[in-house]
Amino acid sequence: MVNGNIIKTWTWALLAILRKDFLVSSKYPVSLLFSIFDTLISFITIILTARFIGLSSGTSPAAARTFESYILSGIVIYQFLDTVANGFAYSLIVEKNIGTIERNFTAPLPRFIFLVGMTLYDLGLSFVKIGILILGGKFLFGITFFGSHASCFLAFSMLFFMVLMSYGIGFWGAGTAVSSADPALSLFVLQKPLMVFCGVYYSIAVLPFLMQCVSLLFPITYAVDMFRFSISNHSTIILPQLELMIVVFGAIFMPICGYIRFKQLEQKYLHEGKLGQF
Amino acid sequence: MNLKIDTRFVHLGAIANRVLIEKLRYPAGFCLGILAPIIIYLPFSFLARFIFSSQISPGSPNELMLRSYIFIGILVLSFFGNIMNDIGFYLLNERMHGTLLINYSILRSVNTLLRGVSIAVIGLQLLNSILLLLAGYFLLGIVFKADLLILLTVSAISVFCIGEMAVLYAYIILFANERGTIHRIFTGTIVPLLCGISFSAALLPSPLSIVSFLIPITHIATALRYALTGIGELSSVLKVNLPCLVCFVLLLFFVNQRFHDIVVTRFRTHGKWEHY
Repeated sequence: MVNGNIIKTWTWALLAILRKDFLVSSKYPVSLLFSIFDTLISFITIILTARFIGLSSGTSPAAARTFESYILSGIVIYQFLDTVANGFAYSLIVEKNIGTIERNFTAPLPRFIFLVGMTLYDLGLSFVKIGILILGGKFLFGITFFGSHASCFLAFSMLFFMVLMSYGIGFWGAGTAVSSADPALSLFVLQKPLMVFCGVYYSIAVLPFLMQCVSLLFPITYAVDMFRFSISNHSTIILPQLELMIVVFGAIFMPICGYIRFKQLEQKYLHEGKLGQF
Repeated sequence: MNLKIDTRFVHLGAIANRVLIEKLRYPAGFCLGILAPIIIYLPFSFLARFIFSSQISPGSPNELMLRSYIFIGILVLSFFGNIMNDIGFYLLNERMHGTLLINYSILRSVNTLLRGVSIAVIGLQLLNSILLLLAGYFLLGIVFKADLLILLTVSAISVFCIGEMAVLYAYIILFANERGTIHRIFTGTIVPLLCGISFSAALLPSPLSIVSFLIPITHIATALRYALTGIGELSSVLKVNLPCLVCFVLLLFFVNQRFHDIVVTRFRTHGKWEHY
């Protein structure tokens, strides 16, 4: 049974890790600013690319606006995966490189709490980036989202489920990256193809048949689709109720699987004595 | 005189050989050099199909042209990014490992060291680009309509230009504070936005168009697009892009000589050869 003191200790531990990440980040203001505006710059590039393609294909301005809102909604929800999962893995790699990972793992704190603590700062940063993206979309390109209170609730639920799925990918990616000789390569191979398969910029209907089949295996595809459905009324790939069920299942199943995988790799490398090695 | 030139060639060959040995120790990194641009290209390609599919039949000549346009842009971006990464951090790594002073003592020039590295890195990247072009042709259906004479000219000037940019970058990285961020700014998201990698730079607002014109990568991408796929105008390539690139090469060459003198003087005065 978890008592009040333990919860208090865990909360303090989470806040301590958050404070540490904040202090480290504030030491490098240029890096912090760039990491926030980097997302907006990427978004502008994609929108200009879509406009360029639209001009070449003779798309009307109204249709072009639909594509732009389609892209923005995809980028907004994908932000969590990009920031949380990557930030998570890179935090662990930095800990490993500076030689503090083994000592931190011996702290009397459940590993799960320690790992979640490492993502809190990136999670906060994701929300800031999402705010900037939505404002950038509105003021630079005139993209607005519409929807009722119910659809807003659904959109926020999808963001929440996406965070949980990002933890799943993050746990898995962190375990692989920490144990890999080339962490950046492992993360790239693990995460970048998701962007191709999950229909972040486009509908998965344009993918070749085999790629579509692979795409339908990822719960992230349905989360992106449901988010789009909730905020801009695009039609869904399958029945919305069924998509919702898959997303909920993914949000529960993916973090558990990721965490089990992380523990397996951690045990392996602890026994081999490689965790503290750079 | 001849002996001096021969010795310099031996030095350059030895440095290039060492870099090749280091690079070939990690074949996964080389494979990623081919895989990464394809993974970056695919979302753009499917986006083009998505937008085109709502208008006219997919696979039309316009769509194929557009995909080739984006593919060449990403090829240039990948070539540039990899070279900047490999050459840009070389001096810093030498300094961190404490081998910069001994190498300088043998070569009597930091520039020679960087040019030796450039030979190996650019050679590998050229091989990488050829494999990527083959993958583009056979796997992604990219259409090529190469103008061989222009292609060779543009490639030669582009290689010199990117090589000189990387040497300058190596000097900047050596003294920079937030190196990771500087690297992300120079090679990350700003280059695709300003240099018209996936769209025409003409779509940029006028102040950004001027900045875009002042970046060599814009000219390299435009010229290579014409040379490989026939997209663009020959007159523009010959009258604007190639002369601009030649000017950039000359300017960068002189700036690099100046930076070399500053670095050597600074190191000799402050003795920071092995200081991290």
